Amino acid sequence: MAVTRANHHCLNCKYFNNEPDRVEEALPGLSVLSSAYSSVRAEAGICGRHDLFLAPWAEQCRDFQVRK
Amino acid sequence: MDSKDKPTTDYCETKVCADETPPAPVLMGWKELYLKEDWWAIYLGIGLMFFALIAFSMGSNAVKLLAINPGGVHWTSLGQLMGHFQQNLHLYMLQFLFWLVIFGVSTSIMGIKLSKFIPSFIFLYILSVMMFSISGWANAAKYNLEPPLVALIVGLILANLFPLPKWLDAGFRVEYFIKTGIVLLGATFPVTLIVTAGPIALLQATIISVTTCLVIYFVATKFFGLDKRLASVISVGGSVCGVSASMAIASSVKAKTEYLYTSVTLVVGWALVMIIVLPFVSKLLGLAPGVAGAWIGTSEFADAAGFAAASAYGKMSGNENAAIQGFTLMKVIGRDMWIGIWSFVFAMIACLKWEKEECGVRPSAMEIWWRFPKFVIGFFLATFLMTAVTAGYSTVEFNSSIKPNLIQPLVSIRSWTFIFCFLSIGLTTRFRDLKAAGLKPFAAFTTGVVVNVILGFVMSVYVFGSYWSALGK
Repeated sequence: MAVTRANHHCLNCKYFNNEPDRVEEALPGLSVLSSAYSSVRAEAGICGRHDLFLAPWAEQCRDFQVRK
Repeated sequence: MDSKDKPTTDYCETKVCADETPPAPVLMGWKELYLKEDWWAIYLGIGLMFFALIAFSMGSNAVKLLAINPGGVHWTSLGQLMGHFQQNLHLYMLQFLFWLVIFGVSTSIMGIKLSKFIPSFIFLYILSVMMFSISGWANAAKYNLEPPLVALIVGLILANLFPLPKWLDAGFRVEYFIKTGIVLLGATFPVTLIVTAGPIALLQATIISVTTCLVIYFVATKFFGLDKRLASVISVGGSVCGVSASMAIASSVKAKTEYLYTSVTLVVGWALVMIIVLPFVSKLLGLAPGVAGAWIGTSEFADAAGFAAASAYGKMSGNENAAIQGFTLMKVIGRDMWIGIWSFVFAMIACLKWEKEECGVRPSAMEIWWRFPKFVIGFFLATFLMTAVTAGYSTVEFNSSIKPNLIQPLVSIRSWTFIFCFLSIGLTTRFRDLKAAGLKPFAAFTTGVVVNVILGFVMSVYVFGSYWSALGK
């Protein structure tokens, strides 16, 4: 498979973490009136490199590194 | 294809990126059907509704027995209350196992460890029985011991004054409980109300949401000079659906994690204040329960908090149904459903205006669906199914048979999911864990809260008051 822009989604990046329990752990208080297991989150997660909250389909980072 | 032949682009500049082949981006897809609590809320809510329908058609009182709670005992002495438990201990055991199994299995499939969920849920269930017992005291109403408020305060005290371990949160699934309750609410919600009052609710909610959102955004950016991404996260959080909307917008505009954290603090703080303030102010002003429900629906920030406030005022005013109906129309139908659209709009603004040069791909309109709070589908499904099933009965039959044997037990089952939720709000709120929001974000958000509350009051009481005051009659 070719390395193209299409592959460079945060979802495939080693810095990206969108596991619901990790998201709730990283954002204390999130589960008080919401949930990382809800549909509205739509698999968004935290970029550990830039400390951003990103959709998994976001794709513009030059620090992208393949998730092993 | 050899690595040397791999096409690289100016976008892909790092060596690791060029030399390694990342897997294709695979989103959750169909897995969402068993990994998201919205879908589980639909399965449980609709499943319970069918269970009730089958039991009703067979003349069984199984659902009535399952729906038992001490809230209706009206006890005057502890001995009387103990007598109720001694007599019905087997039913409570059965009920506990029922909730434990359906919530335990479903959360386990979603990835929450059963070893943490079980002890947590045992604790939650025991507390819930105690909350219902308090509300079942003959003098409870006299002292405003409304279950939602008592549950919230007890939860807050336990979470903040006692060293409850953090892992106990595994069973305090606020959103999951309230979503299941909302689907169950659909089964007792008149479809005619959605048709007649739905458009009004939508109009009122849209006017208030847009106004509040713009106020917070412009105060935050123009007056306080805050970053526009922070402004967008807190403005939608304060106008559409609290933390859930903040989460959706934060990822749409690629906000810093700390911005989302700030919004969490602001929303949780104000939502807790509103749970207490709105019911008592409504009582002071003598608002009709439907009117208060609509006002709370436009002024509260999250479903769970809003249901707590609406339910509390409904009990104070003696017509919980009307307050819940007003709130549901305004919040669930008027505001929740539009989270995806707001996310898409902000994603477009972020892409086309804020980052013109670096935005690679335009946001997909599919984002509206991806972020749609799917449990709302369950609410509508339950409403239409129940209406279709009961359509053949006359009013007399409905009141004499359907209401006491089908609707009331479902309401009672729903009240269990609500009390689990209200307790969980308090039990998961640890003030020491919340991030300091900063004076400027707080001031911008608070300006929006003031506008929201006043505008919501004017529209609920004066502009559309005739619609809301007719609810529950």
